[in-house]
Amino acid sequence: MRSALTVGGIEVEVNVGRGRQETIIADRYGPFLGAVDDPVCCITFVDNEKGRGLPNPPLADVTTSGDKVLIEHVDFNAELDLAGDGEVRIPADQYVIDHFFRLLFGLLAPRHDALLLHACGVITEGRSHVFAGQSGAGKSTLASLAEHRPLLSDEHVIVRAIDGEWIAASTPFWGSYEKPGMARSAPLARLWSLKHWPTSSVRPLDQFATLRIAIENSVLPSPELEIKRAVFDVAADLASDISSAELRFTPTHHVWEQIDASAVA
Amino acid sequence: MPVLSPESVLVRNERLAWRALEGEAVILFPEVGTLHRLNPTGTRVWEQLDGSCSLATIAERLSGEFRVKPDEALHDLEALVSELLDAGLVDLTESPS
Repeated sequence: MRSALTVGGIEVEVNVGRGRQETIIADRYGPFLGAVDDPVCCITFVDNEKGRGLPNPPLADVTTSGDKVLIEHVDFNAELDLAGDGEVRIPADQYVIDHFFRLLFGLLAPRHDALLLHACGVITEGRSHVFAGQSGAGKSTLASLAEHRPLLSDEHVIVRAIDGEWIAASTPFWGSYEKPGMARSAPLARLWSLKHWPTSSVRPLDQFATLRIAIENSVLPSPELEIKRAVFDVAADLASDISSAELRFTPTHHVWEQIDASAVA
Repeated sequence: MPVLSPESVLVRNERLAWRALEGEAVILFPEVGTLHRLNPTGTRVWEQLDGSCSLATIAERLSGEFRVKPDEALHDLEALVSELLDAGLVDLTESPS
């Protein structure tokens, strides 16, 4: 199979031979797959026949040098060129393949004016709202209360500046490794931080807080300084252009009335 | 801790990333993982710490901009720069570049 996996407009050419890996990728990432058009890089999948990945695996060891990336993990390894051709040797396991793709798009995002965020994204009134927070912050709860509002993801959302306008887009990376929803995007209205509270309220934040939210919730595939600097630059651009607010909420449907009302104000 | 004098020349740590947001410098020190924020006056100082001039020159400019006495400007400037040096955000150079 030769196909393009596109997340937030960042297109990756994926080459995988017939077999279980092909089935997994086609089945799991279907809404995000399409014809190869203008990929930023190309990845060839090779089955290392390790079988199932380890439960609760350790983090991958990622080293970069310019466009070149080496990834070493107990379940897989990869030699990539983020502007060219690369290869990943990986088992036919949906969780391991998902882990690899999260790493890959975490590396690609800041190179393309984007951030991959630990966040839930929802479209309401034609615009997207991104609610950032680590596990337990309330992202999934908020998503479950969204009713008719389309979800971008309940776990990872990509925000990206395209021709000077910020959008938020869905990713195939959902909580509990659930099968992703449709590929969607919408102009970004606001970035939110979440806080459980006895009542629901909205507290506008300044640009410094916006920057902080973006940095603290960005997927950082490696602690390397260049990656941190790249994420900072994109986060600073985001903070300059997009407003943020703290959503103190209690899990009732009324919280969405609050969010919609704040968007109008 | 190096001793500062009016002739001291300082330069921003080149390993940092920084940006001005709403008139305030936000500085990322990636090696340490810290985020620093300077108020507008501190930002005005930060922008001038490019290794091209001495503290005395910067103090003179600040004295004119903020209409404070030159020795007061220099005193406050040295206090701020000491903190920046302590945090590793600036380095002392030998001479203006």
